[in-house]
Amino acid sequence: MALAHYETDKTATGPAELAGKYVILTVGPETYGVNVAAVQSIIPMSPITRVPGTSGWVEGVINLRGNVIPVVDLGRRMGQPEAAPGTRGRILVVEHEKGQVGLMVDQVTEVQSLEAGQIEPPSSLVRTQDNEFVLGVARDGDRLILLLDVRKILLF
Amino acid sequence: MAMGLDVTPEELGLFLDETEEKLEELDQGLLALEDDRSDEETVARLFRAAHTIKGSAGTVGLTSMAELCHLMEDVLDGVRAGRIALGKEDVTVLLWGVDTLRGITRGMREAVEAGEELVDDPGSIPADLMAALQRVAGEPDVASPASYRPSNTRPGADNAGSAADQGGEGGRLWEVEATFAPDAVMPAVRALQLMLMLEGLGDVVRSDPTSEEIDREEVGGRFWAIVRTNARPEDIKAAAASTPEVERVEVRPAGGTDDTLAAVHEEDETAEKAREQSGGETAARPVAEQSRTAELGHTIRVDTGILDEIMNLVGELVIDRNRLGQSTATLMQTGEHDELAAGLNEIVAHMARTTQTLQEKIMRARMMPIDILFKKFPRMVRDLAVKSGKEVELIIDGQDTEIDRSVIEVIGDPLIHLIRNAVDHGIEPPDVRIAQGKEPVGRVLLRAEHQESHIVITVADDGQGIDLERVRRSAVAKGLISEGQAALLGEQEVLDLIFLPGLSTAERITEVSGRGVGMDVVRRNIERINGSITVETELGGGTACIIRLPLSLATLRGLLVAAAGQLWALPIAAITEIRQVNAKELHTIMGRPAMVVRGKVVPVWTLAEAVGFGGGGLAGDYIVLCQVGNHLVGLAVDRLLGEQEVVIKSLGQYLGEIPGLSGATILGDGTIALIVDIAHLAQVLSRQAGRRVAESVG
Repeated sequence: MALAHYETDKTATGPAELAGKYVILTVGPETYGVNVAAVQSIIPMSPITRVPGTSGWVEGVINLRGNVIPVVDLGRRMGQPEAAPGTRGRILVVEHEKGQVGLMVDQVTEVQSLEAGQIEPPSSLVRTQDNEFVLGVARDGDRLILLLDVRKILLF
Repeated sequence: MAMGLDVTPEELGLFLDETEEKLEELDQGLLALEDDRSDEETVARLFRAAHTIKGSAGTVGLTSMAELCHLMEDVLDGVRAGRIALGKEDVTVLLWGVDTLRGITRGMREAVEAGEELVDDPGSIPADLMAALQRVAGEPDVASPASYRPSNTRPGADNAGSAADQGGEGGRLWEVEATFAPDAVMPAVRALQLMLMLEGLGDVVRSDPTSEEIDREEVGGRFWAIVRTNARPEDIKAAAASTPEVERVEVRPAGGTDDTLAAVHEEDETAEKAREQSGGETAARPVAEQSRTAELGHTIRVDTGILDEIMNLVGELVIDRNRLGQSTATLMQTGEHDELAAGLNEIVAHMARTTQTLQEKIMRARMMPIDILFKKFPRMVRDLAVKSGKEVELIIDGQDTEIDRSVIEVIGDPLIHLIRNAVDHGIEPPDVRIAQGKEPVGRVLLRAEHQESHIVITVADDGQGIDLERVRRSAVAKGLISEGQAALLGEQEVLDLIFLPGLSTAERITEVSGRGVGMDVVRRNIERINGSITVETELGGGTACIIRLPLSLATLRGLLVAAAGQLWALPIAAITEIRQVNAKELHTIMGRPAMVVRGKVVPVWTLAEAVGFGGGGLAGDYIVLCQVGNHLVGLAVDRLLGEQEVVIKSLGQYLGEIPGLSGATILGDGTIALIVDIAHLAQVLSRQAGRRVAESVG
């Protein structure tokens, strides 16, 4: 059974379109949200085999149930400084048109529904360099969750 | 007036498949007709093919197509009855008809894919074509028909003749009988060796002792088997006789009163008769014959997607088998649960044998005769020759050689390019050839054969050869190398230059061969499947391109090594030697560590550096010497972990192509080892090392 692909090529995605269920995760000091429709599975960190000739944020490949899939460090992709070894605890497996890709994150805290009222456009609250990957910002209690455009993140 | 067709998708699919097959038959038959290599049977078959297409087209509602076929049928009927003599131009008209029909079927397939309505379009048949066909059909026979004569005699031997030995589809049946020495210590092992050897040559239909009996070591003093193979009896006998403790070997054609044998033998006889009637073995024999004898109930069509899935599943099984073996070994080491461990071990061993056999069978199922590629070349060569005003004969050998389907897909374009080169740049115009004392008709050889665990495909011509001096000058002129470098190049290295992008020494860029962007792509494609290509040439004598390909793209015999903190697999085929690092043997030459091996200087890199992980100097305990063509390089690694058959897994499209790597594999314990593309590395590295290294050290 295939999961629905998560389409985010609309430039104007307002709070109403962004409302839904999100996987909430932490990478470094930031808290991010990824739409559940985009996530195939969440697995514990796995030994990574480095691959030469790949760009900076591709860490290498892992063995996912007998398949070789590449993994990307989400922190590095978001412009964060390199993390100490052992910091990344989980891998989010997402589906890309060119196959599965793993996103390395620190922790996955929960799956949560976010409503339109909680969501604002990214420009006001977020550093401009991240804007291309951030679709919106959700306020949840006293934390801010940056809602990510997975397709853009994987595009390079 | 265009009319929509009333036909179901299934009917249409069947119609298109069948029509395309018949068009192939028409192509080949017409070429045979043109070269006087045909006979009554060929003409009859041509007529029937046209007739069949006419009937089906009419049923489906393609009236225009049916009308075209009707005219072609008329011509062929006239030929068959001896009323019409076909000249070269007439055959060209018929071929034009074939091309038109093919264009229509292609158009229909595209329309189906685009979801468009299917119509009968009279405009798709050129009026000129119909007129030309009518002219040919109306031609009366003239007193002495100059160009076409049906003949029942065997044509002159124009190929090596090895194809004639090939026997019926899949090979011939031979009876092999071997006796073991009376004092043989290990008859069961010898029987197993004989069995494996015969399985390697073909199919063992029956044997005494059977595989199970050999497994249980119930082996007497005699080994007997019936094997179906393309190998020659002398080779079978020699291979059997070379097994130790085997005393007497006899190889006879199998016959016999046994029902199964008789039935199989009958099939061979039918194939023999069909061949005799069509005038014996010829170079570009129509495949339709083969497929008809095969249709005597021994084959079924299988969707290739299903075979791919099965292949994947077998790959998974191999991985799991390795993992199970690993776990069992670990269990045995603990010393506890001895009985359980021993039992598990036996199961794993049996599983290993079963998966091995399963793998081999699936590989065989995915294999097809390379003829499926080769058969389109006679027409291509004919058209090229006509266009360039040359006379070219294409000799095809080994078209029954079976290769993996995925290899066939990759090798098609490179072969097209090489054959075009041979006709366009290799073969000279007839007057030039005569002036050189050669036959006016140039010959191009296309041959496929098995060699150990490889397929070797040769494209050779007896044309003008490659002018190495021109290549040298052209490379300098294009700025690819300097004058100084050019002067130092040996012959093989100059030949290597033709694989550089942007190099073409043709004075005119012909529409046929393109702009010299071909050879680098050809080599890249071949190397990507762990193959290699070498070129031999003789100025004035001709050129030969030799392609070597592994039999399977799915697995690889690899040497596992540790380097740069992780594991790698190096294809065994490219490794010549492994040495322990000895500081005394290492010198620094032109800033590079190097060692001398049998008089040649071999530059050495750490594997890490070679694949692009950076770092320099020399670390590691072992040096693996790898040879690809003329390039010999050394790769220093930390540890050797043994030889293993690994399943090749793609690194995925997301990462794209990584130079130096041809994939990855998952080992028994789940670790990933990257597979090194030694062919690519060896060439890149050794070119980097420069050519000014002395070839020998005194």
